[in-house]
Amino acid sequence: MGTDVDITTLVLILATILTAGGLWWALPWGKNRKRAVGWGFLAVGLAMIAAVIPPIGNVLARSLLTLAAAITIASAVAMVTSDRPLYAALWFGMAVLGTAGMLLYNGAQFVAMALIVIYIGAILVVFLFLLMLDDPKGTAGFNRESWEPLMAAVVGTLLISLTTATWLHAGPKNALPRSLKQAGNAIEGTVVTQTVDLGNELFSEYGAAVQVLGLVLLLALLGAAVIIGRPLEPLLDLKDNGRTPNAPDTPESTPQV
Amino acid sequence: MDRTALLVHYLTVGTCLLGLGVVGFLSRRNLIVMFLSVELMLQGVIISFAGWDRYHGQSAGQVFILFIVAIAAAEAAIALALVLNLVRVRQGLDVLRLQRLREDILPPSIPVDEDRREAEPPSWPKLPRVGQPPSIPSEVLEYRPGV
Repeated sequence: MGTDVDITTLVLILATILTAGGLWWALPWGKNRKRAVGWGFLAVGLAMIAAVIPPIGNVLARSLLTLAAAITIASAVAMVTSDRPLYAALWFGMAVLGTAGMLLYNGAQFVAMALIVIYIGAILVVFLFLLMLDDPKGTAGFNRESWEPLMAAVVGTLLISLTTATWLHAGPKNALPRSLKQAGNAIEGTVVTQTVDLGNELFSEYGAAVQVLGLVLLLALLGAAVIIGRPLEPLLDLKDNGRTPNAPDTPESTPQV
Repeated sequence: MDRTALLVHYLTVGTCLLGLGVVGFLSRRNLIVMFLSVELMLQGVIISFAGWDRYHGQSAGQVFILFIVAIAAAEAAIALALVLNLVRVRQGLDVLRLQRLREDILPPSIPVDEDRREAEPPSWPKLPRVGQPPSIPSEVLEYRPGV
């Protein structure tokens, strides 16, 4: 076991330490710091993780995929470490765009477009609307502080590096089950349009699942209407246990000045 | 092109997004940013599905991605309703305001002081200097709200 440590493992361990430290330093926890230092360490650590995974294809393919992946991960890092919620939401939109780029690289054109339209066009707008309710600019203390930033950074980074190490060590040696190797219609190298296949499969093999999904969406709509249309009095019982000293008891009863 | 290498690329990016989402969900205190972190984890799963889809040369992965997106849309609708109710009750998006949702015999995990929120500077009325005409804002001149 002990002799199994090779250069890849060493690089991954170093990358884990760098990434966790950089993430911890870049997360908002109050004081004024040079948070760019954290982002620098984070970039170095993630680049080391990227360096140990095997390269693909020619230079053009590699650089395109690397560009999409870099946009995605950099936006995700900026989203997590931003102390301004509006900026976090916009960075999340950027991460979705990067994800759509990676899907497009994979030949999944329809799904990439659906991702952009549904995520950025619908879900992100809903969350932006919700962000307007309280402190969108991030001046309040709860946006400038984090719970346990060191432990969170360590846990997330360990998740990243351990799963990466699992694939790296499982990949080349005892590679794949035989059925996967013999996947007949596997696409080698070229990217073709898969939208027709997707439509056929979606409405033939997964037709029942699509129906169930429509039912789930309908129930979500009804559930949202029921939750928001409920009178507020039963929920106000919770307020007596909580502490909201600054808030008036019933917002409707505040005198109009 | 090496299919396994391509798959490893996609899985690595997916797990990076998943880990960053875990970090955001564990550490951030804004309710909406926590929701966005969960969505980020879903993005990681989506990228993993895309990698496996290309690897097997089937369309099943894309079907699953569509299912994930639909469930995320349903989740966003429910979250909208729940967060609106919570904000009506608690007047804020800070998760610290929700820690009293636990039972009364349990102490709060972090002692709450609501005054952590930085107070806005008070706006005192400004008096014009003696001997100068006061500067009246344009909207006052237009609408005359005080008259």
